Amino acid sequence: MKLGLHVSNFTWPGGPTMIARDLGRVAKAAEEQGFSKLSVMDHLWQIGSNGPTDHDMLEAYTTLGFLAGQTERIELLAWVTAVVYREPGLLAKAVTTLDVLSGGRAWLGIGAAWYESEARGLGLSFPSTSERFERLEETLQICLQMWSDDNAPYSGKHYHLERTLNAPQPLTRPHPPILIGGGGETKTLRLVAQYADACNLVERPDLGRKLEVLRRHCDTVGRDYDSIQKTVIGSSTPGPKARTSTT
Amino acid sequence: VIASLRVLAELGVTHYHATVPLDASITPIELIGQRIIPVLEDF
Repeated sequence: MKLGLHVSNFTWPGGPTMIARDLGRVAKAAEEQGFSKLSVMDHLWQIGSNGPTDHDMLEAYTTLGFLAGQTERIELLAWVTAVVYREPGLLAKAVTTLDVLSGGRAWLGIGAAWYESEARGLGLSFPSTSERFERLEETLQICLQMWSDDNAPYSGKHYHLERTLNAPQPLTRPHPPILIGGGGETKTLRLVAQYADACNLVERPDLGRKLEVLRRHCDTVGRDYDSIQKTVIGSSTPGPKARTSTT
Repeated sequence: VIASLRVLAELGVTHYHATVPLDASITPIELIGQRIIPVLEDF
């Protein structure tokens, strides 16, 4: 098992003027201690489970670019990108840029988004749940097309790209790994089986069942279940929540 | 902590992503790196 580090809070004693120094120290320490991945949230306001809304928060991909410059080996990603916050062509370009500038350490972590008040507060798109999932699948298709030699137009229900040119291509071939966050059994885990290199579930009693659902989706789409990384996000002190998991 | 991670590994989890309360201190990271990460290599 590998261990990763998720930085979800930037309200630190030194205040904003010291965030760069302190975040750099955290990143270097994580790499030195053998953490395999380093992530930040894709939120623009702090989330309720971590603190008050007006606590300090940094934009994810700008922060990841900084972290790329502070480290040499650790893998980097947004855990997870809110699909509707960026047009997919720009998202693919951002992850490509992170991969190139980090020497091939970028992942695309992505999900259907959930923080409606944050989105509406800052004037970002936040369509219905079903539409966000449609946009998530189209975004995955667009990223994969932009990470291929196919520069043809893309035409989906929500997105239309006239030429999916992406130069340079990522250093990671065939493309930066994709992690899809969420445990929705009908849509999210089906998307994992079809498009992703990793799932992300939460530590709770139904974890084993979620993995079985993922296995069935893999069988349906002809995907090797063992080729998918099974990730769980939680606190640094995992508890007994998954001990009662059943398959 | 290690016992709980072993349970997750036995379920098939290959990566645990930890949200660590940092307060800008790297001490928790160093402790996890010294006491937990080496053990996980055997899971």
